[in-house]
Amino acid sequence: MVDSLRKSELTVNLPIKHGDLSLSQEVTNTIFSIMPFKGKHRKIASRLKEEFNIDLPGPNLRTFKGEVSIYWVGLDQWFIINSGDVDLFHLISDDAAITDQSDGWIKMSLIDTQNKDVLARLCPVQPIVETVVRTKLAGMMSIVFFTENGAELFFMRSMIESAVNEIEIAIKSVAAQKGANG
Amino acid sequence: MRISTVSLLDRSNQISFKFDGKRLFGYAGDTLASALLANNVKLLGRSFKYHRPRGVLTAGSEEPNALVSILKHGQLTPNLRATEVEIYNNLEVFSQNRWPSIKFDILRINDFLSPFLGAGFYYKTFMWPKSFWEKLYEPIIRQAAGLGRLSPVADNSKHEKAFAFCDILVIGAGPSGIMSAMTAALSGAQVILVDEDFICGGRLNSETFKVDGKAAFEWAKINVSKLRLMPNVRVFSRTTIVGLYDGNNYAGIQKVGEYLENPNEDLPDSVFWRIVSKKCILCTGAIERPIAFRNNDRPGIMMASAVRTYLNRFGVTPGKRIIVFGNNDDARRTVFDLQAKGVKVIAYVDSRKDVEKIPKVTSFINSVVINTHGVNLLSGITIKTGDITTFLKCDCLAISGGWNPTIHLTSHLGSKPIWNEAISCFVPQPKAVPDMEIAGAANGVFSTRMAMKSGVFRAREVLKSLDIKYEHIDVPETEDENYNCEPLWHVKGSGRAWLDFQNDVTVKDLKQSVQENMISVEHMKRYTTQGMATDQGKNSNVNSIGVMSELTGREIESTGTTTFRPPFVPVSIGAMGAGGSGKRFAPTRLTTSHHFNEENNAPSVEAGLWYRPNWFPKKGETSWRQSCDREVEMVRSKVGVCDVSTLGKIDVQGPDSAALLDFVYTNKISSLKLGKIRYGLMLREDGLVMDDGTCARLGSNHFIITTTTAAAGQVMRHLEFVLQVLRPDIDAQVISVTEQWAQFSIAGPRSRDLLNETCNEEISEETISFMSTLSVSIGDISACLFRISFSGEHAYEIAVPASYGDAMIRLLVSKAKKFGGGPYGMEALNVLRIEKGFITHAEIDGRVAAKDIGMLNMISPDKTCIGKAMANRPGLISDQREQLVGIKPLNEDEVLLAGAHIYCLDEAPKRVNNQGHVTSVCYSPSLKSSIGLALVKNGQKRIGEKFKMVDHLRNSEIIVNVTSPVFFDKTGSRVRG
Amino acid sequence: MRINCPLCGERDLVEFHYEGSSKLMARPKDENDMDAFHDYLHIRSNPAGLNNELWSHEYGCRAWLLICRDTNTHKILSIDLARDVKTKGSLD
Repeated sequence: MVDSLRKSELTVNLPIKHGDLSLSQEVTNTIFSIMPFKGKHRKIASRLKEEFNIDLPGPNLRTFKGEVSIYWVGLDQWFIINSGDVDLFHLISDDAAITDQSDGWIKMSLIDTQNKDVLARLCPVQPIVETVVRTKLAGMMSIVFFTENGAELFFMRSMIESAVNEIEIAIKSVAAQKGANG
Repeated sequence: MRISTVSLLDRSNQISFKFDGKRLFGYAGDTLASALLANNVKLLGRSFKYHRPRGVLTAGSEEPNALVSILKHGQLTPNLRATEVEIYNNLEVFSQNRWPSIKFDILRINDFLSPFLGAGFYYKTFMWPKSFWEKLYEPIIRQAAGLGRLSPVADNSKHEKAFAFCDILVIGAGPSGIMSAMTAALSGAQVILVDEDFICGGRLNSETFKVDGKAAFEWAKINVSKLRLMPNVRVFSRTTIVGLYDGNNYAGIQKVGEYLENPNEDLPDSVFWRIVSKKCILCTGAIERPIAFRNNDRPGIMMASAVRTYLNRFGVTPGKRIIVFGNNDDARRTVFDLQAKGVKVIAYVDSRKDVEKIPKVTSFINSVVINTHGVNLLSGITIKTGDITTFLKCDCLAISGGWNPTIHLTSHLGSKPIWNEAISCFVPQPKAVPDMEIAGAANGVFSTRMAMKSGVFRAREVLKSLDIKYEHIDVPETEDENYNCEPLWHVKGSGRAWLDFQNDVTVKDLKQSVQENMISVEHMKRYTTQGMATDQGKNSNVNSIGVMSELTGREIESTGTTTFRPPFVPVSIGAMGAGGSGKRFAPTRLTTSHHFNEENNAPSVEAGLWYRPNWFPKKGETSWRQSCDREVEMVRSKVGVCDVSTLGKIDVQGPDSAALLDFVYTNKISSLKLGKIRYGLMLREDGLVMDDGTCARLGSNHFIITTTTAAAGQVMRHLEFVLQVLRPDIDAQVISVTEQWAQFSIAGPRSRDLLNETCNEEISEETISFMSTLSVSIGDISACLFRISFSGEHAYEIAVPASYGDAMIRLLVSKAKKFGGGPYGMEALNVLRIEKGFITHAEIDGRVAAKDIGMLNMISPDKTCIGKAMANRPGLISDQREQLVGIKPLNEDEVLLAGAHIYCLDEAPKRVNNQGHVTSVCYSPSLKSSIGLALVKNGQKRIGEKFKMVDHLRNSEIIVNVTSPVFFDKTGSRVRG
Repeated sequence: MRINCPLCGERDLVEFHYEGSSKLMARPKDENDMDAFHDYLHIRSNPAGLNNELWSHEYGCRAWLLICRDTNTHKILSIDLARDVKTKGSLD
């Protein structure tokens, strides 16, 4: 019999640093998708509030409490991150579709310039701090949460090498252009 | 010639560059044009058609003549405008369109053949004899044609694209632009100010009048610096807005690395900005227009405002004996500026009647220039006053026919400009472009002070529309003169008078156009090619419309204009494709076993965006076929492991999940028992096959369905379409879990043994029969086991969370080796499935119906489904349709070719006799023959017949047998064993 | 071109997929009415002017949208969630 399977590290070279700009991995323990069935939004929202003391966020928003955060990621779709030991299937699977997405997505943190110049090279959406968007980042499906000094970026595991490559090119370019603008 | 005077150059920074191999010197801040003129280099190229000698005409991006090629780090870039190129040390520049040299160009002979090369000659010559076109005319034209040459070296330029958002975009940082931007910025709005030049300021950098008591360029510098320091303002110089698009999208090209000698290797050559702005203020100024007269294209003939630019901004005089010819007061400024700098002004010629002579200058009023003289350079002109002609020697003629507002961006969305008779120019239609205001000279407001006022006013309008309060801002004192232009499109007379310098179009050509009844400007444009060069007619459009109106006796208004389209200036294809070169064209998707594959030297094959291993070469194997044959035999006799993670996996849950699947699949899914798997066929609404896959029931309201790798996205989109658009009554949710699970096929007679060595649970016929699923665990990791087969062998697929994928492939392969097995790749996977007649998108090519692949009986009669209605169309069930069959060469040494066509033995292999085509082929080690699948007309009834297989491209013709598509294990017993 | 998704706000065209005419919303009920299905799938008008069409915000929130667009000017006159239009009222 087999004793255990080893969890693999990402093969991309993170963190990447150029001056004040950086890209690093933020390890998430769990990610689950929650998609309520018809007429069950309020029920789900109140169950989650009871369990985690967090509200279900509206479109393009994120809510969090302690380690746990919930991101709105589409029509009737939320990701709950780091929900810990709570058995979500037991909690809400009668009223919502729950799937494990923990291995499918990789989360990274980008520290950008004040003008968000790196994001400008990658993201077709205007960066408004504290909003979540699902968009095409450098040609790839991505979930982006804009922060004061950059963004949280979620990419699918299979595309992580391409994603890191594109972001690194943008970081290097911005670093080379900083101060050279205009 | 350089004059030691005030300029905007950095005289402490001398620059050395080469023009046509000759080393010359300039200063930082020089353009190539100013540096060449400073070195008395006035012959810069040869015109497109007639190869006439040409020099610099302007000082801006509208330059039609001074097109050069630049060699940089082995790359040759043609057709750059010398008036925009910033010189750097060791810049290597070449003139264009001349052979062998610029001074002696053989194709000058075209000029002497000009009576035969007029407008329309393209349509009238080279037509006969027909055969001569390909062999004689076309090669000659190809050699002589074109402007500039492309580099034969692969392009390695780097470009970048970026997005920007703002409240107000101000285009142009001249007098009106600076005031607009300042007004907008002081209100707190997010402002982006762009200018195409490397120093902001527009005309302020070239004129000698004062602004607010300071030198004009000084005022500009101070205010632009202020703007740069404001946190809500971004200033982009060297940035041209080349196009306006729907939804307030503006395309801007910013030069970054391309103007530097040794750019940092991470610096892109340019950035292609996509700017989304709530509002826009267009402050693009105006472009001076020439006057057409005989031989008005000689090197040394320049725009009057350009002469001032070279004089005041660059400290260069373009000649020692200058004559100024104009129809407006602005031209006179050139005389005053030249005099002030001690340059000899030989004469001043004004076509207007009631104007004053200029003191200390020989003035010809109510006069025109009727001819110019000189071999390669201007040496003199002839002036006509009434009946009197005067010949004067000169080496530079500064001309001004008036000013044309730079309105191009306003017409990119289809609006046409309107003619303003009072100032004899086209101006934008008011409110032509939503969310855009136009200020300054671009709107026909020509005096500097009025342009600045206009900038403030327009900015206020924009702020009002955004509900933003504006601050008061003073408009500085500066010149405020009318320029009193009296239009003069061309000087009548014999000889050729140039309108379009770049395409060599003259007044004579327009006359011919009218003569042949091409009187609409749209027809004239295409017939003569006026306005179709890279300057997009900036120097010729209005004059040509003026000439056309005179020739056809219409008012200018009714003569009309053609349409300006993006880009405003030429944009390289590299810039448009920024970020998409080489591998960056599309993202690559890698499976969790990718690194294992690389370590084992398995070459990758692209499956959509995914990379999959083609075969795993063993030591000593010299060809891919060896590896592939071995892997096939290994799977059929022992066990093989293959990563199948790329197939789409969609999780379906909800009270109506079974109803959803019944609706999208042709066969019944709702009757599927818990823990069981069923093959499913999905049709498009038009009855053709969309995809096939498997469906596993994990719970009463929980299914996992698979799709082919190719159709994963399409199926996902289809399911959302059904749920949201067709059947919002269905209570179900779908989400992709393709990335969550790494999935591996374990196939072959020893697969069960392998799994018993791997999983904690017992794997047997009782615990997991064919087409069932079972939850298992490996160590302490939960996994899902499916007993399904794409190889026809006893086989499984096991899914583990993707972060264990790498560990899993290694574990499975090491276990497999114990049973004499190992990993197998796509080539072997393909052989295995062809041997069993299993189809992929090579067969389901979008033209194939259920009956064609023998699956008509999979459409359940008991329920509805997508595609059911149309699947029964006579055309989709006809016997004449191409149906899935197997195909095998009669002679076992011969090879089938995918894509080849099938013909009856006694019929010629022509399109009309086509019986079908070969969809997939392979060498089958099991049958020791080439085998394939094909779609053949009425194929199901022609099994056993012989046909010809013909591949016209690869010159192959062999005899083949049509067989059942199942070549191996016809009863399918191995999969249940 | 930009589209103002009811959930996500104004977004670049790159996030959207254009499916076709809004006719696709009204799937014929009778499976045997091949004429109705033929019309449903193949017959379209091609107006120079207002056009009702289905888009999907595929790279965004995945919502299917019913859009009324002027094909002359690309101006979008109305955008609704297709699902809402179909059920004539929002869910939950």
